[in-house]
This record gives sequence, structure tokens and C-alpha cells, in this order.
Amino acid sequence: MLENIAAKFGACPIQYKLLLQTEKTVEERALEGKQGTAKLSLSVTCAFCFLTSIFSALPVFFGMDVFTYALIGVTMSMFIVGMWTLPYFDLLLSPINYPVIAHAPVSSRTYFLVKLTQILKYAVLLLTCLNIFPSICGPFIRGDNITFLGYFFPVFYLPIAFMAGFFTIGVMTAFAGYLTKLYSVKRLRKISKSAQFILPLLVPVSFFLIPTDVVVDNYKSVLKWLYVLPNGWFAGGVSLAVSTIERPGFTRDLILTGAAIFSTLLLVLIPLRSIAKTYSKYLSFLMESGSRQKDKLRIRRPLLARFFRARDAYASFCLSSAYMRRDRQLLHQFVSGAVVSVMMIAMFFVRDIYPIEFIEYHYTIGLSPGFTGLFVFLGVVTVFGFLSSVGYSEHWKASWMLSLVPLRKPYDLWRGVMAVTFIYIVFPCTLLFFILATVFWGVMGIFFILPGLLVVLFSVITYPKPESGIPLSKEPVEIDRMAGCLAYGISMVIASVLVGILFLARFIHVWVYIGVYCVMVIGGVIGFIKFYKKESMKETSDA
Amino acid sequence: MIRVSHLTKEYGQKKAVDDISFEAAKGEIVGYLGPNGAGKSTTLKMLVGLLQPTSGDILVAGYSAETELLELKQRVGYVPEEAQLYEHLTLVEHLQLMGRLYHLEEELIAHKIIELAKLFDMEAQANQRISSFSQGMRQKCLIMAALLHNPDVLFLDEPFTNLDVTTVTFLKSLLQRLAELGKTILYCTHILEVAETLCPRIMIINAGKIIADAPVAELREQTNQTALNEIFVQLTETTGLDEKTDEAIRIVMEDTPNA
Repeated sequence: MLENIAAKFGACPIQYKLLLQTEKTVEERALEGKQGTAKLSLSVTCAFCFLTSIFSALPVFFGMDVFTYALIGVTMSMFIVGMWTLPYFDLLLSPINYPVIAHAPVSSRTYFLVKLTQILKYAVLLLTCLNIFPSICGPFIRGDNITFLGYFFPVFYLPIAFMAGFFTIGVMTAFAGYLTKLYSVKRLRKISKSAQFILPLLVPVSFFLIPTDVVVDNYKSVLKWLYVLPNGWFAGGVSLAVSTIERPGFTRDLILTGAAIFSTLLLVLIPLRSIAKTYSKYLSFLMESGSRQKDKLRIRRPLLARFFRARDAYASFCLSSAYMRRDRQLLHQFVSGAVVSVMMIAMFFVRDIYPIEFIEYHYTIGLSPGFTGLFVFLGVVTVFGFLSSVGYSEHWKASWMLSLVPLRKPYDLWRGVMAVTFIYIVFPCTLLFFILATVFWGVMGIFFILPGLLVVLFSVITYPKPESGIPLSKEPVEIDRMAGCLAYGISMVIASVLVGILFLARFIHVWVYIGVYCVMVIGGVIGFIKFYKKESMKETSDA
Repeated sequence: MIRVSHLTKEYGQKKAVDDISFEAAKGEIVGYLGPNGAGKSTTLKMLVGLLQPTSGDILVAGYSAETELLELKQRVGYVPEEAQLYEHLTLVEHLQLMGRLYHLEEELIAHKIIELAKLFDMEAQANQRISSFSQGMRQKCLIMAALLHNPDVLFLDEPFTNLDVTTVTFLKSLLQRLAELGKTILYCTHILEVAETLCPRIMIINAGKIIADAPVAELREQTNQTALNEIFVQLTETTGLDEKTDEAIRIVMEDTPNA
């Protein structure tokens, strides 16, 4: 049956069957060689998963609602599957035995599907063990909003739990694949093995990070945080399937289900496609070279090209964005900036040091010094991390091409870099903080975003551009971060002044505050546009 | 098409290019030869606007390098001596980058990339990163990028380095056809056989000065030599070849002092 499915995906059914059988035999003999230790370890893992499954089903006796019940089961299942995936990511990413069949006419697609079947075989086994009890006990949940479909709870719960499991595997593999750009597979394997022990320890530790008031109010206030997390999305799907339409949380569950389906498709299929392509590279000297020759080279008109009037800016945008993703040094610089700021932000949540009120505390709409401060901090540090590095590249010698071409406005090259910063840094940061803001203040959260967003936007356009204005044109050894530090300091002062003025205005009167807020935001937007245009004009006249 | 008068480039006390003047007409292929460090690449870099001359005038395709550099750059194609490329880009991305910087339409860029990739036998590698390319493939990248915007003048600095025989033969034919269509080509090389077959006119630069500028036949008459490499050696070598070889043999055969 499996070979028929594989054939539908374009694999050769005979080769697929044969390779799968061979992999199975090799695996069994490897287990024999280790005197059954690996087999025992699999049995122990399955037994552990069964135990976890029993614990996940226990809340049925505590009168929980469907969403919370499903949330506990799905979260446990996702966490354990995620931990299990960590040391095995390289089975898919860098198959060690591919040279064995490299001389045979096996297509990369067939080989990839064999490896994927292997992974899925264990994933299904583990997911079944993990979710069997919660799904069996599900029909016993009682509540006013549950329809007759509640009796068919396992029919809905199991597929969703499996989807959540595949989502986790996809995310973990994609994350590991992304990390292989920064570190070697060997090093990453070592890290992942350590993480398998360290991460479970973080679960009890995380209890101490939860603010005191959350424990006091029986975790009700923390529940809303789970709507923004993937496990909440999948739990929303279960709740949607077995509950009535008229209940209050119906729209929420509908949105969460949509998020679950969309994210699974996006985060599972895209990494899998990318991994499948890597297989083509591994086996390129086989069938692929012939079939690739047959593929006609097609170049589509890029979507973003329509939004750029200046061709030079668009060219620079494409170059900088490609290097942002592919240049190890640039990636290191940019990611480390973001990671350090996220860690710093995490510190603000630590219980008893910076309680959650630090973020939520505000005088009136639009003013939350903690929230604005965090947004400015993450935004500015990440923006400066990128802008201070984008002038440098290991391929700096290639910048002769940018000196050769007829650049009417050299500033356009820097505008391309700024566009990368806006689209790939400022926009995701804003989106992230907007989601967080909606958790605290609902739709009105947008007003808490704007002051911080303006500071981040200004930090992009006021960042001192390199003398030549040409990205990736300096040798990395010469990196001078003084300008970046100075600009960072200045931006922090601007952020403090901004918050200070808003405080002062609120101190006088709420309407004074609203007036100042409106003037500041509208003036900031107009100022930003004017300043941006002025800089562009100035550079044009200089050129 | 190209007019250079009294062009000089100084690096401190050293004159890399010393008061050279020459002209090249529309549709002409000029071979620009010279020993290592003679000033060939420096001349080309000044002609395409990558280097500022110390003195002298450059006029390419009717535009001055001093006052109309952008117009000049728009009409020039350049293949440098070293294949320095943004290696994290794919071939398609590299050509798109260059096409956009020369302000070509997206549709035209896409069409030209597909056709050029086919002609240069790079279709299978079009979406691979340049970092995985061989030296020959990188050279092809540079040549394709130089031709992408249909330049009036081509400056080629050792363009056939690392290329296979098939590609070299194809390129020679292509350059001849481009010249027939009115493109001016300044061809800088060490490979005298190629220069002899491709370039009706030869310029030889030595120590920053042009020491010969004539059609190959005329150079043969002037030097009483038949092969271009013999003409080249006669014009550029200060000491006789035989004496130099004897001296080298003597040094190679010499025993070490402690032996």
C-alpha cells in the first residue's frame, strides 16, 4: 500500500519498496549488533509515552472544558515529539548512507520518500502512544457547550494531535536545517543531544518564571497567552469540532483552527520541499542531472519588483536580502542580536524581578513604558545588528560590480538595504509586538505599538550609512562598531524622551496626553516620510 | 568609439600607465597585449570608470569619463581579470542583479538570462549558487553579465581564462560577429594565439607605455618575425632570449654552497 502512495508522489514503487525493506533489514541487524539495546530503548520510549498519555487523560476527572483538556494533551504530545525529533533531524537532513546507493539509478524523490517513511513510522508510533488515552477518555468530558459529536471525540482529537505532531517535527527539522547554516551538522547533533536533557529540566524551572499573580488567579490570565502559541491553535481545532456554534469562544476557536491548518501547511510542506531539493543535490550525479536538463529554466517576475520604482534600490534589496539569509557572518551577527534581545526581554518576565505588570502597566491608552521600552529595545538592537554588518562581506571584492554600473543615485543602494530592514526586521518585530499587545489590550493594542514603531523606523533611516553607500563592500576584518553603538545610544535617548514627554502630558491631563500622543504619532509619520525623501534628495544632489 | 589621449595613472612615484594615447573605431577588435604588470588592467579599469586617471582624457562611445561617466558606464561591458563575484547568489540572481542595475525591464532580463544560460550551457546550473561553480563557470558568469545590457563597447581582460575549448571557439566567433555588428572590443590577453586570430590590430604596452600599435601584418614587417609571440618577445624583452635562458640554466644547475 505504501508503495502505491509513494508512486503517486512520483517515486518508483519497486525501488521504494526495495529500499524501505533494505533500510528495515539494516536497522534490525544494527539492533542485533547492539544486543537489543536500541530496541529496548524504543520500547522504553513507548512505555514512557503511554504513561504520559495516562497523565494527559487525568484532567477529564477534574471537570475541565474541551479546550483546556485538548490543550494539555496536545501540548504534552508536541513537547515529547519535539524532544524526540531533536537528535534525529540529521536522518532527514544529511542521510549518511546516501553514497551507498549513489551509483544506482535511484531518484532523489524515491530516496527522500524512503527516509520520510522511516521518520513517519516512528512518529506515528510515538504519537499513537502519546494520544491514545486522552482520545479514549475524551468522550467523558461533560459541559453545556458540547454537542453529540463529543461522543466521537477520538475521531477529531487523534487526527488533530497527529497534525500537531507532524507540525512539531516539521518545525524542529526546519529549525535544525536553518541552524546548519550557522553550525556544522556534527556540532549541531552534539548540541541537540545535550538539549534533549536540558530542555525537559526547563519545565519545572519555567514555573518560577510565571508571575505570582498568574498562580493566584488559577492560571486564568495565562490561558490567553496560549492562544498565540501553536498548541493553543490545535486545541482550538478540537474544541471547534465538538462544541456548539452558539458558545462565546466559537470565533476564537475558528481562528485558532485556521492558524493551525495554515501553519502546518506552511511549516511542514515548505521545509520538506527544501529538504527534498537538498536530496537532489546529494544525488545530483545520478538520475537528477538527466531530469534536470529536461526542466526548462523559468524565471518569474518577482512580486516585490512592482513596489520598487528605483531599479537600483530593488537590485540592492535583492542582493542584501539574499546575503541576509545566506552569508554566515551576517546571519550570525543579525541572529545573535535578535537572540540576545529576546533573552533580555525574557528576563523581564522573571517572577518577582520584573512582574508582568511592568509590561501591562499603563496610565492611559497608548502609554505603557515597559511595553514601548521592550519593543524599542528588540527593534533597535536587531536593526542595528543588521545595519552595522551589512556593509561588510567575505565577498567584499565583488563590489567592483556595483562601482562599474551606471548608478544615477548611489543612495538607492542604501535604500534597498533599508527596504530589507523594513520588510524582514521591522515588519516581523511589529507583528510580534502587535500580537502581544492584542493579548493585553485587544484591538486597542495598535495604539501601544505606534510610539515604539516610530522610534524603530527613525532608527533605520537615521543610522549612519557607510561612506560609499555600497552594501557588502568592506572587508570583515575592518568592522568598526562605534557608529552602531553611538546610534544605538542616541535611539535609546530618543525612546526615553518620547516616553518622558508622554508621561508628562498624562500628568497634566488625559486630554493633553491624547493630544500630544496624536501630534507625536501623526507628526512622526509625516516627519518620517519627509526625512526619508529629504535624505534621498540630498544624496541625489551629492551624486 | 574609444579615444584615449595622454592617459596617465600614477601610484605614488610609480607610473603604471604613462601618457598613452590611442583610438579604436566602431566595429574594431583591438588586441591589447603586454607583459605582467605592464599596465593593461589599469588602463581597462580607467576606461570603464573603476579607476580615476591621474591625467589625460577618455572618450568612450562619445562620452567623456570625466564629465559623462554614467552615460559611458551604461554603454560599456567589462569582463575583469579576476572572477570576483557575490558567491552566495545563484547565476540567475547574479544576472538579475546586473540587469536591474543597468535598468533593464524584468521581462527582458528573464528572457536574456534563459537564452544566455542555454547558449553558454549553464541551464542546469542557473539556480545553483556561484560558490559551487568551477573557475570556468565563474568566467562564463562574468561574460554573460557583460553582454546582458547590449553594450556598444566591450572591455575584456583575459576573458578566456579557465574556459574549455568549445566555449572559447564559440566566444571567438561571437566576438567577431559582435564586431561586425558595430561593437568595439578592446581585448586584453596573454594568449597570443587567440589575439593573433581574433584581433586585426594589436597594441603592445610595456612599462606603462604603448610600444607598438599596428595591424599584425605591419608588425610582422617591422620586426621581421612571422609569429606574434616572437614579435612580442622582440618588442618587450630588453635582454636577448638566448642569454636569459643560458643564465637561468646556469642558476638551476648550480650546486648549493654547502654541498
